[in-house]
Amino acid sequence: MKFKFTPDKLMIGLFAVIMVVIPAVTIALPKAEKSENENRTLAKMPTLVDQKKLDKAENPKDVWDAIKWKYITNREGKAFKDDFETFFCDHLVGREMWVKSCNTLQRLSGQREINGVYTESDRMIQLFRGGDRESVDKSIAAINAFAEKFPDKQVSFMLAPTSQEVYGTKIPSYMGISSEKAFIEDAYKKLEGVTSIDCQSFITGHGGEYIFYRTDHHWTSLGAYYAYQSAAKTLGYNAYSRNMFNVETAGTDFHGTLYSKTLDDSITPDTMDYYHLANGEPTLTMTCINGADVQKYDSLYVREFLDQKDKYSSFTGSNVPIVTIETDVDNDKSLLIIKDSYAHSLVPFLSNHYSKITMIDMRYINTDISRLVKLDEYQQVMFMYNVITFSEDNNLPKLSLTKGSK
Amino acid sequence: MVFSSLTFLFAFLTVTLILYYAVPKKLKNVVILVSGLLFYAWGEPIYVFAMILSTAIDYTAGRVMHKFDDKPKVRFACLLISIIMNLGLLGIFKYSDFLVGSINGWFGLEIVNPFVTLYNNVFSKTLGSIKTLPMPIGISFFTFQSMSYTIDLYRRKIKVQKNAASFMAFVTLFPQIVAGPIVRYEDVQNEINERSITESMIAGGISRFITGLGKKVLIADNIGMLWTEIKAMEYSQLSAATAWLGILAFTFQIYFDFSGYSDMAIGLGKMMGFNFPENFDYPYMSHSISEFWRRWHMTLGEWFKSYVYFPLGGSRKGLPRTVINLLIVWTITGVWHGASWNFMLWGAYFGILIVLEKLFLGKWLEKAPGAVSWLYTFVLVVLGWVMFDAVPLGTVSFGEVFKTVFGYIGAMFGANGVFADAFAMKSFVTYGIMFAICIFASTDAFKIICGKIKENAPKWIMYGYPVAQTAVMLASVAFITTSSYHPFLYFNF
Repeated sequence: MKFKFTPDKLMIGLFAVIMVVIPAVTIALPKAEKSENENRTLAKMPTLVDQKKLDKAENPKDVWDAIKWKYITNREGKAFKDDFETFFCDHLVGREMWVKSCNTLQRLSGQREINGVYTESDRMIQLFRGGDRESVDKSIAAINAFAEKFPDKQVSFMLAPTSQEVYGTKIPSYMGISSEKAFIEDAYKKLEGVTSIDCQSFITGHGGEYIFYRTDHHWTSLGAYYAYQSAAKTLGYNAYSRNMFNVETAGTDFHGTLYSKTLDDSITPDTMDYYHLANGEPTLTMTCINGADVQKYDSLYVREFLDQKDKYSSFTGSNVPIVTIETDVDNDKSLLIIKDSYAHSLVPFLSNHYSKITMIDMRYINTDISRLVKLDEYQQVMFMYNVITFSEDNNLPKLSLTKGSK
Repeated sequence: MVFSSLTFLFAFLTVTLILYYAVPKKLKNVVILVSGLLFYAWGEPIYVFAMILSTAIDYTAGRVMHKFDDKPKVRFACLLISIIMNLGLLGIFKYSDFLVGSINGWFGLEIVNPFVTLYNNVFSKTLGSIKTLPMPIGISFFTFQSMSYTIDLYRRKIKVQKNAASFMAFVTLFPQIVAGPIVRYEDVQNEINERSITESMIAGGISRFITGLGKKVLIADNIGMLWTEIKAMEYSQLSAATAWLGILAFTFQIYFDFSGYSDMAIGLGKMMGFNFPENFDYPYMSHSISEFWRRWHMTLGEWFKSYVYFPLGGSRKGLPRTVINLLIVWTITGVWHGASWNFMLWGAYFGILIVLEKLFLGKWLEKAPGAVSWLYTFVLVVLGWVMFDAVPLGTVSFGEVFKTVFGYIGAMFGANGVFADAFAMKSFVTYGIMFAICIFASTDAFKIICGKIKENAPKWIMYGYPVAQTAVMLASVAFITTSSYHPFLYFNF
């Protein structure tokens, strides 16, 4: 019998190829442990039996007991079958390609927002929808209480806008976004005994410049430079003018966190700049303390991160509980910054004016901070957050654990 | 196991199909039986035994009925046992919690469902204790399917199945075990014993399966996100436009979800040599409620017609009895969808509409312009979906159900005083294309276009069809996979 090619044969053939090739390749390929873009560990193959119990098993009853019955039959929580599906999805061959196709189809069908990220012509914008009012009030109360505890210190608060405030004008109002300007003004109004630093108006004034990354939720070094200028008066230093810095291009293919959320390749990757003071930078030591893990560097730019996915961490290293920077600036001024990662690109500018700066990240600290840093050493304390983190974070109330100097 | 999962597509289905085509004819039912049990046990590792038991009882009842062919009393007893057992299972697992809860609510009592107590006594050590009885997946479907066997056998409409494996294979036939179509034994009695699998059947089955997968994953799940969002809002704050968009989203979600599932089942059946009955026939094109129910979940309607409505006397016993019979059947139909007041309300609502159509409305509708009768039907069906799904799960009291339903319907007609708001605008812009696709795909336009192409276009065009189907399949896989893509950016802040 002669083989005759028909549409039916084509359908069967295509289906068979999909059904066999996808699982076969998925099984054959080595399983990745981590998803860089999602910044999480991928699922492991779930097991039906408790291996430890099984090894010790002496009779059939022990073997029976080693089977994870609850895990198999669970209805409410995660059961074996759900974990198996997650495992399969996590390791499906060409996983990110599937996700990209899906997101492209979503966009084509009219969805402009994917995972909370809005794509507007040439950039991605993380949407701000007002955050959690209750936790914001608690955070502000915590800042006020901290200032009251340390009357001898100058306590200030810098709340930075994110790119939505600058580029969000094109986002239709029905997307339900909130004004960051109003949020900042409202927060500043509630401060007591704390000086507010207005970097928002400074930054919006430079809206035409490259002050926010296109694919990441942080400000660029230039954005941070303007914030540095706006803080000069409050913190008491003379900001260097822009032409006194040499700008080094550290990388040109930075795919930031917003890229990770959408995997949208249509947006040009970002350029990352390091600012160096032209007439000589202070010599310094940066100590990053994460529990027992202590790393020392002689620069604020940790270049090893430039080869990794998380390139933003090259600014003073990734988020750790405590980072201390000691410089040879001979003025005995020291500053404590309680912050999120926006501070990481600001600190390189500030370091030109302080003999000591310490950054602490309350998201990783669950104790009295005076047990970790000598608070007496610092004349100034600055809280530094971006609007979106501040509107959702609920870690500042942990400052109440800290004993005051009174 | 759900069809729209990678586990099903690339583990279960691949292996099952390879085995199914590889083994000789005689063993094919064994593959169906084993794969069906595995398929069911994957989701119900405990209750699979309840299903096996019920199947065994129905099989035995059939054998005994056959053996004592000349003893009407024995035959009747067998039928009774089978019906009591199946309805008993349904009663215990599906309705006992609702019943006990309602009684407690009415009389202010605190009775514990005895079956919950029983379950806890047996399983609490190994599986943990429960407060409400978990319902076995697909119980409403498989009990109805196996009842159709004993009832039809009693009526001498079908031949007895002597092969236990074949009977079990009929019940556990995995494509339809969880969500229909309700395949009666009569529908497949020949194919279960002897069937041929042709190339065009396999290709047709694949294409039907992919159509269903696409309907479920690409359309239903996406339009459903809008309904999920709106359902979570305070109904008293909804603008009229938002309320309409929300319930229209559900209108399409349930159609594409359910009919997509039926398509997948029918397609899988075809790939294995079975011709399952159709379950949907473009219901949203109906011009009366009676017609809608002849086009929506057709196998359920057929089931109730032959096993409840006709035995009650149907329309042969005068008008008053007909009206009562219709109301009974529709209330049961409603309750079949779930043990809760809102489903009963939904069923009775359609019962009343159908009675009205029978009395006089039907004649008017026939004379009315097509657009009017279509609009009448569609709007009433959409309002029905409010009763079906706008009520939060676990709403026990009837008053609460009534209040919620009419709160939502009120919002649709402007009771909240706002015609349209920013949210409606956003939903319209972001889901507009999706709605257009839904409307188009709810009609038979695509089918007609395909037919025209088949007639007139050059032959090679027909090769485009499998390619397009493959694209739909790959897109569906992309959506299934993406639902597991969770960027955790906390540590990146």
